[in-house]
Amino acid sequence: MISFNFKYIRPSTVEEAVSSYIQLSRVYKRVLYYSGGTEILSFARNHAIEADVIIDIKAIPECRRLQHHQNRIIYGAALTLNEIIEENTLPLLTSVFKGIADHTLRNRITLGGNICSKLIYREAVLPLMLTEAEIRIAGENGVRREKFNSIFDKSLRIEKGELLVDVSIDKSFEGAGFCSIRKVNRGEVDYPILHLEMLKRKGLKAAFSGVLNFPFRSDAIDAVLNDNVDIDEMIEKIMHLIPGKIKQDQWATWHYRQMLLKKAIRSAYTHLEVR
Amino acid sequence: MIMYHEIAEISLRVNGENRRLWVRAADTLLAVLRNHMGLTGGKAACENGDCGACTVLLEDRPVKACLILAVEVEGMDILTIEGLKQTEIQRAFLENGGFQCGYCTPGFILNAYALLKAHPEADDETDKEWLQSNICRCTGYEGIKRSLKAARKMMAEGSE
Ligand SMILES: Cc1cc2nc3c(=O)[nH]c(=O)nc-3n(C[C@H](O)[C@H](O)[C@H](O)COP(=O)(O)OP(=O)(O)OC[C@H]3O[C@@H](n4cnc5c(N)ncnc54)[C@H](O)[C@@H]3O)c2cc1C
Ligand code: FES
Ligand code: FES
Repeated sequence: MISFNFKYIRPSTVEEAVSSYIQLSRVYKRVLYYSGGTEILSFARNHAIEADVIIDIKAIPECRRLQHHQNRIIYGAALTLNEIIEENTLPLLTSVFKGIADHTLRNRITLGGNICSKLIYREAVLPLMLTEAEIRIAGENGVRREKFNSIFDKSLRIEKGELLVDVSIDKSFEGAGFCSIRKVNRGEVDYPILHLEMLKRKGLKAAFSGVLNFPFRSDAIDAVLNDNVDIDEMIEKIMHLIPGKIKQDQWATWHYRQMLLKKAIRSAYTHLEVR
Repeated sequence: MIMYHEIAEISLRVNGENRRLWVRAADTLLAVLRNHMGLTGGKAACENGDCGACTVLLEDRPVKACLILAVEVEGMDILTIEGLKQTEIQRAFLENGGFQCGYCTPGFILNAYALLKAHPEADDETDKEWLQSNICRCTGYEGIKRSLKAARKMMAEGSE
């Protein structure tokens, strides 16, 4: 049960959503965009989040479209992960999204909600990091387009009240080879203690979740992956380039995570190089 | 644009019937089904999305009713275990040891029912993917898997 009250509004356009956010924020302290609701409601139950007003974006057609436009595929931020999986537009997206939560939850968890999640995993960002994705963000001054990698640094760097409208990816990534390695503490459905995605297209690229307190990729790591050095040397070099201290928690010690990470890099690299 | 204040009158279509109800905008679908409508088949267990005991079908898709607001699903078709009658999957659960204490059973049955409808000929991989959304603490899952297979067989034989 959620023990506090809030108002609920459901706009039908992006403009309505953004202007409602701006106007309501003048009166109420805590206004939230609401997409799949899985995080907001589970946090609300424990008072980890409180809201005066929530703005449900699921009735906005622009946020709900999955569309091919010229050479790109556009994914609305309020599409559920299962809706994207079922269309299977890009095998990399399908593979990563299938690992997130469980099948029933994926009928509610949305692309935008996962990207903007307050938890550290946000696995849906991994394929976006590897495919030079672009996103559209709506705010007080209209809609702007940004390269995903230039605006995602540990989390999505958007201003208060800005709305993630959609994500687009070049269709040419359809045929790119990739390797997913996702490890959990127990069973199969759980947050990852390590998730490595490696993509091969004009060289290798890697993106990671579960290793640090945020998902990441780095130009320096990609450069080492493509350096043609001995594989052991390459892995050691990458370890020095991890942009933070490897996580340690009740599910895995940092030492275990580091061992898994080294193994995962070796397997993904070998798999893709052989291909 | 639709706007509901803290307390709102909404209409829900549950098990084929329309009902008008006063709810809090912050009420989950699970709370409304159980506390306002007396439909207690879906259980309030973890209320965190982990266990699937609260599963209902929303427009034929399984969802966890503890992580949905009632105001979100106005006008959509909701099916709870109380709305499911004499189906192959219910019979199969009875005949194949698909449950022991029964706490998880409504969620499993609804999920399996949706799976059989969406993928009448699913492979083991798809069955596993769907059923992994629910947790059972009693059966060790073998009886549940057996029940799903038996229901699929009954449906295939019935349609021959
Ligand atoms: C049991 C369980 C297991 C899970 N396992 C995993 C896992 O293994 N890996 C993983 O990555 N995730 C996992 N998740 C999902 C994750 O934790 C979040 O619950 C989910 O990604 C949130 O998506 P949502 O659409 O429900 O977002 P919401 O709950 O609606 O919103 C989440 C946040 O994003 C903001 N937001 C939403 N949409 C937008 C937008 N378009 N523009 C701006 N801000 C927006 C909201 O204001 C809120 O702050 C799991 C969730 C559960 C409940
Ligand atoms: S009660 Fe909803 S998933 Fe456990
Ligand atoms: S039968 Fe007891 S929890 Fe499943």
